[in-house]
Amino acid sequence: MILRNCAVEQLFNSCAGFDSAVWWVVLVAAWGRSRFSRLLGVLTVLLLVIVGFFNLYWVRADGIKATSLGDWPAPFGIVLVADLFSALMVLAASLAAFAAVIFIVFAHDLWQQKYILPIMLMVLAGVNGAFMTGDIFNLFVFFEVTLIGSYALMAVGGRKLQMEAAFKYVVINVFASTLFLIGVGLLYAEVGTLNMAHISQRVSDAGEQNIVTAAGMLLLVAFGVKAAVAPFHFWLPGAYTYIPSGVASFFGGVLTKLGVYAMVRVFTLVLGHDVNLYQPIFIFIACLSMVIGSFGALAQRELRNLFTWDIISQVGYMIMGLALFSVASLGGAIFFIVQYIPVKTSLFLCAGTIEKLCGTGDLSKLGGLARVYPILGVVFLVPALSLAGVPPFSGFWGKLALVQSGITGATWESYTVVAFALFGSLVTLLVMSKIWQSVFWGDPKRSYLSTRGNQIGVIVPTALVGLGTIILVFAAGELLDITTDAARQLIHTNDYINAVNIVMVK
Amino acid sequence: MEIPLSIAIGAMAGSGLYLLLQRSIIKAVLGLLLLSHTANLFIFTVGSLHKDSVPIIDNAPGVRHFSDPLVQALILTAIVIGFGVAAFLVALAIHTHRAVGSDDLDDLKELRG
Repeated sequence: MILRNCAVEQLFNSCAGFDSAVWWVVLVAAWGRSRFSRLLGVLTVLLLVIVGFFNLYWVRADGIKATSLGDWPAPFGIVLVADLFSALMVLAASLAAFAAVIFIVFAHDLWQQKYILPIMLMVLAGVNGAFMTGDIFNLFVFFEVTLIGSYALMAVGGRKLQMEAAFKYVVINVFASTLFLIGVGLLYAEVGTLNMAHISQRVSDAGEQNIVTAAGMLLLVAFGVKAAVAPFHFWLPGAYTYIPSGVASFFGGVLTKLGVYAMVRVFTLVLGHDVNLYQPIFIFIACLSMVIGSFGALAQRELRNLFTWDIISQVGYMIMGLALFSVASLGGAIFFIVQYIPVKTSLFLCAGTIEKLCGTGDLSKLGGLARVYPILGVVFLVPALSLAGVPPFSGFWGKLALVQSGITGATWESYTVVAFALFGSLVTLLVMSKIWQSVFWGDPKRSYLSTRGNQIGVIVPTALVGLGTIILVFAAGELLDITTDAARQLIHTNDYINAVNIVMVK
Repeated sequence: MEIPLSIAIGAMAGSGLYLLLQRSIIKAVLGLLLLSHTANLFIFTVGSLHKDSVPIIDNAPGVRHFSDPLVQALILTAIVIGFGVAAFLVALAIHTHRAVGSDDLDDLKELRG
């Protein structure tokens, strides 16, 4: 048992630490040698997927695990905590990264890979670190690690439109980070600790305080900008349209979900006591996001623009789970996030594949792809239907759990948000059928038939993720059990606090 | 000491926001840098400023005021991060200027839609 506990600690230490160590090795050793660097990059992410699986398995078997970095006892040192939610997020993010890395190796030019692969590992290290950390200032630092890597990836290539997108992205994110930092400062001023479990205890002991509320609002805006929920969504459309398509698939799948993760973590664990205060706000932004995102997507004429707008509406569903604030709704939201990451990654990979094969992502210039590339059609259809929430695909089960929890909530707020969710879902279905109609049906356009490329290399990663989403169809019950347990851990914060108390100074 | 610092923080935040809302790229960059310094100064003030007070209390009798050393560690981290971001921002501003050919943020509207 002791041996096994040690192994668990080592494992999830390595989840966050391992990756950041290795990207340095990749960066330093392999900058000039592309083939070696590619191999190392793919192997690193593959290893991370395996570690993620074991991490989830052991957290599920043994409960929440906490470890203090450098053996400094909490709350003075930084703790890494793995509960079911963070273990699930690490696994999903690593899977998405794995598919994206394979796609990058096959689809992008060598000079691009040389920059993309090491920086992508840095972003992944930041993302996983943010999922695992139990310290709110450390959360800020890992956010910055992620963001600095993503700033660099936005600008790889240096085309005019890309610089425009990168500049807007950087400005809005630096501003949001400043708000995050001030929020953390306020929280520290009031409770005198940065350890999230410790803050949670102190806030609940002290009751409702204005300064804590002010800090909560600042954090809400900061995370809202990063998660691109309406009304903070304005920077996202266009941001992922001109970056390399492999990078876009990883960003679209994972990056905004980092903001959602932070929101869920902070507003359940740290500020969950004041839930009545935040609930109307969450319901408002959830409804707004669903409507704005789905109608925005409907108006687009470009594949990646369309998927980017769609992110906004899907984030609305995740916030809906947080807004209803019950074990069932949070379980549904976590299920939705976990299935959404591979689904969105594979949709962006499809968009990248189409751009690679046909040279354009413009809906009006495409058509008849189902005849020319039938495999691609199948590979696109599965995640598209899943995103729209058509049974039996994974998105349906997530939305079902959310809607059910809303109806059992039985207040007018919960009925409102359910109505918006069903309506948004309908519009998403319309969007997906619009893509299917204009891209896959009809007669093939001549312009790209002559350049018919090798589809196998770029379709393999997309098909892999597609296969993953099909597996989710059959494993939906099992996954929903896990996510409901994860939600229970989020709502009943005692488990988390007790796990951290083990490494707390006496 | 807190009151003059609070006024300074307010002035800096105001100037930062004002610069950020200007149309020039380089002014937006300067505004962001000013705002991130504001956050640092804010956290510095949070640690309660007392002259000649001990940084760590060791259950010593008679010690009423102490200065929190942790905030300075936090600021140090935030400054380093801010410094890296600042370098990147300036480089990005130069490249954006080269790609777009003007210093006007209103020329960056091809992505609108």
